[in-house]
Amino acid sequence: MRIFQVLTTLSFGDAVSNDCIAIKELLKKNGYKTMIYAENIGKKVTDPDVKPYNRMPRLKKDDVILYHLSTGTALNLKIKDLPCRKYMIYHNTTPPDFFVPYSGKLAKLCNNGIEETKALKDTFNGVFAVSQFNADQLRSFGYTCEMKIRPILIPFDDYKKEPDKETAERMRSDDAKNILFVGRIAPNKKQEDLISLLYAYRQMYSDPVRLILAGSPSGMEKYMARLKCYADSLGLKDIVFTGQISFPKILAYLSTADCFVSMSEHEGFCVPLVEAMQFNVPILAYSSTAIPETLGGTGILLDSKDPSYAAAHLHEILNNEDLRKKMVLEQSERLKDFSYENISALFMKQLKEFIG
Amino acid sequence: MSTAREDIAALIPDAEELKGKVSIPLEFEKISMLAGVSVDDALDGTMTKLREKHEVIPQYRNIKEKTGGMMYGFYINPAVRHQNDINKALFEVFEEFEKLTEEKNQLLDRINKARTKLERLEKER
Repeated sequence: MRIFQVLTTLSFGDAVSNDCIAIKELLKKNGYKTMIYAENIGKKVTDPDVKPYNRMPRLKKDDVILYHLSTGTALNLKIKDLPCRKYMIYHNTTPPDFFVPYSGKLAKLCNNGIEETKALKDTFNGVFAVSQFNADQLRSFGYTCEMKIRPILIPFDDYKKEPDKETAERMRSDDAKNILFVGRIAPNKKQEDLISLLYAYRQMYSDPVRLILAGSPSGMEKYMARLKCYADSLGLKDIVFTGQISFPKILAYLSTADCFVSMSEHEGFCVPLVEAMQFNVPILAYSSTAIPETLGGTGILLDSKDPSYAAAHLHEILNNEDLRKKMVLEQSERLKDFSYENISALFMKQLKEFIG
Repeated sequence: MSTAREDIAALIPDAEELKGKVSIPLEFEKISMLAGVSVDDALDGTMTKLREKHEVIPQYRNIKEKTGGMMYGFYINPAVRHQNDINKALFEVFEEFEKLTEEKNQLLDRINKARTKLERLEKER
């Protein structure tokens, strides 16, 4: 029996690709013959176990396909006809409405993703959903197959690498506290709400804070330009837009952050929350989609996006040492649930239950 | 023992009343898509396109030139060569412009930092 993972794009640094590679390593460690086949492969990917989809060998009946679904793609149609057992790893698709003003192409892709997910409801022998939120969505699409909740597999050893020194020094060069959000520059992540939060904070309090928006604007340049224009209009010209950055630089921002703040309105899991937990950064997040589930009762959840309301919570987190300590302690406990050992053991158990 | 969420709710008992305390002078939705495109972004886009295209690939205008090219090596017609020269010159201008924009941004960054510091010092005073 061979286990092949199939996905539309395998690139450097995104959550789906990282999950796929981590699963491949785990399967290999457990003695399975495994490969990854992707329609598009990023230039930085040098893993010899990653091949183009059209080079997938002829499948046998006892082979297993693990299909990562996260967007609209021609693969969603092709997967239906593969003559073997098929399991989906569902990462969710962002609702297209977010992208309509910025990219018709992307909005169409997301719309196709949702429609194709619905059309695949009778295709899979089982589903691994990365959150209960995702599983519930599939149920609402009419999926009746067995579903297992398996959070994203994160190889935490990668986070022990050396952070970029220059970036870390720059972030610590003054007495400003660093408010961080990590995630693509994308309308569903609602970076504009972080900008208005910063504005309200500066009106209400005098302690210096710096907002860092770490993420690539690729494909969302119009949204990025609009964000910059919004920040300029509010007189917030010092916001750090990092753009696409190297992993050591992300580590530097995480290691120097005083609070991780998310205003995102659509997340299927939200890996950066777990990254913040790993770096002992207190989390303040707007309660939406899978975020409360990933936080698991830890961090501070906001039920409103009102900038003054959010700023008051942020100020308390930044300045109340006891509260910070408690938050970090609770988050560390939650982090154990996502440990590589726990999730890999859970995945192998679920996989064996599925494929026997 | 209480949780951090319970603690913060007790620490900010008037959180609900804080809503709307600061009015944001401009809503994000009011920023037009056109206003969102800054000079820098437009320059970035032009530079990227120019980098891709600044070297014009030599082309044959007719079968005569194609035959000549096959017999005597590549034939670059004068119009293409001229266009390449123009592109090269234009590219140099853009590079200079890009360099100056970067310097301008660095200076603006320093001014902003100084302004923030000044505002903070004024508030403290």
